[in-house]
Amino acid sequence: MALSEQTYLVLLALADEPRHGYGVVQEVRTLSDDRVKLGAGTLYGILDRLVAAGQAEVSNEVVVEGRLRRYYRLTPGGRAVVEAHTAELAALARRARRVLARPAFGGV
Amino acid sequence: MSDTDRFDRSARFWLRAYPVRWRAVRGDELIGVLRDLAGPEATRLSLRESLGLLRSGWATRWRDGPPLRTRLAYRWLDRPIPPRYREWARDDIDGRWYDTRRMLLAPIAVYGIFWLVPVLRGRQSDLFFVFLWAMILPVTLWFDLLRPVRDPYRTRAVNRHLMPRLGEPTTAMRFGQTRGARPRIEARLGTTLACLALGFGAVLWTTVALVVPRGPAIVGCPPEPESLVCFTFGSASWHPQRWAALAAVAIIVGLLLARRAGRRTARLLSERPAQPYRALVNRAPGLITALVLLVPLAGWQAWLEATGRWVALISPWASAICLLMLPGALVAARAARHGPSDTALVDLWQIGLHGRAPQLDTWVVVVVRMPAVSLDAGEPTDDGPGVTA
Repeated sequence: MALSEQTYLVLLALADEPRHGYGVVQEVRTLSDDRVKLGAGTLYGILDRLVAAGQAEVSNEVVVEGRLRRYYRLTPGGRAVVEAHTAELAALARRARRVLARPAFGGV
Repeated sequence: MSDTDRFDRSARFWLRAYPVRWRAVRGDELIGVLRDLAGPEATRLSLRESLGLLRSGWATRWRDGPPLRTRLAYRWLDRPIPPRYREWARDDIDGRWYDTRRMLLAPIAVYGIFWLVPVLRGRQSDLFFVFLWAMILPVTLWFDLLRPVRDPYRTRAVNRHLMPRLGEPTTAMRFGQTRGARPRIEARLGTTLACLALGFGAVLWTTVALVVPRGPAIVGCPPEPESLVCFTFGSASWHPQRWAALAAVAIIVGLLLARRAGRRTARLLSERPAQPYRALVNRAPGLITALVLLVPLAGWQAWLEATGRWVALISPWASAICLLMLPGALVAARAARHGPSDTALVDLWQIGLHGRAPQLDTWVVVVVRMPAVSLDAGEPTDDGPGVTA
C-alpha cells in the first residue's frame, strides 16, 4: 500500500502506544506540528485500510462516559512498514541536505 | 432535546453515507470521536465534517462492495453473488430503496438511448421520451416508498443470493431466515402528503386545461381512389368547455366516493385487528424528496402543454383525476388525524376503496447471520446468530 502523508502519520501515532480515534487525531496534530488536522471520516477511512492490510488491529474497547472507545495498535507488519518508510524519509533528507549544501553556481 | 442528542442526531444523519453493517460495528465509536472533535458546545456537525463523512462513507461503500463487473452481473443479469460479497448483498436487499436500485438502471438505460440516439444523429429528441426519462426516478421512488416490502422479489433475492448453495463449505458466510415485522407507512403522514400532491396537481393542471390551445385528434384526409377511408393523426383546437364537463363529472363522482369512504371509515376503522407483525414507519424525508422531484417535472410538462409545444392533452385528464381523488384524500386525512395513532395508510386504503376492515398483516422474511461452523471442531466459530435486518 503506497503511504500518503496522512497514513504515515496515523501509523506513527500508533507506534508508541495503542490509541483511540480522538487520541490518534490529537497525536497526528502534534506530530505534524499542528499542520495536519484529520477529520473523523478521513481517519476511519485510513484505519479501515490499515486494518484490512493487517498493519493495525483493535487492541481494546472501553466505555467512557457512555461512549465507546476502541483502541488501535500497530501489528508487527505495520511497525515494519512505518520503520521502512521512516528510513526512506531519513535517507531522502540526508540526500537533500547534501544537495542543498553544494554551492549554487549562477542561473541558466 | 439536549445539545448532545441534537449533535448525535445530526451525526447519525450524515453517517448514513456508510454501509449499514459498517455503521452497526463502528457507528457509535465514530460518533464519539466526532463529539470529541466538535467540543461540548456543538449542537450539529460542521460542514467540513459532514462533507468528509459523505466522501469517506461512499468510499467505504465502494471499497466494501464487489467489483463493478460483479455488481453489474448481480444487478442486471441476476447472477448469484459470490459468497464473500453476501454481506454487501444483504445490505442491498434489506436496505431502503432496494426496488429503486433494482428497477432504476434498466429503464434509465433504455430511455437514455431513446433520448441520446436522436441527439447524436443531430436531431431533436422526442419530448415524450425526455419526459418519460425524467419521470423515472420520482415515480420509482414513490413506488418504492408506498410499498416498502415487495415480498415475491425480496424473498426470491434472499434465496438466490444469500442462502448457502449445495456443496458450499460450512465455514463460508451464511445467512438464514426468520420472521419479522412488516413496515407500513403511517396514515397521518401518508394522507397529508397525498392531499398536498393532489391539491397541487388539481391547481396546476386545471389552470393548464383552461389555456391548452390544441389537442391530439384523428384528422380526415381526401380519400385516395382505391381506399374508402383515409385518416391521419394530427391536432385540433381544444375547447375548455370539454374540460369543464369532465371536471364536473370528476368532482361529483369524487364527492360521492368520498362520502361513501367517510361512512366506511367511521364504521370499520374501530374493527382493525391487533397487528403483531406490523411496524409503522415514517418515511417523511423520502416521501418529501419524491414529491419535490415531481413538482418541477409536473411544472415542465404543464408549460410544454400550455405553450402548445407538446400536443398531448395530459393536463385535462390529470386535472380530472386529481379532482376525483382529492375529496377522498381529504376524508382519509381527517380520519387519520382524528383516528387512532396506530393507523397505517394501507388500512384507510382497504376501508375506503374496498369497504372491508383492515386485514391482518403477515410477517416478512428477515435475514439473520448464521454462525460459521469450523470443520475441525464442529463448533460455531462466530458469536452466534444475530438478527441483523
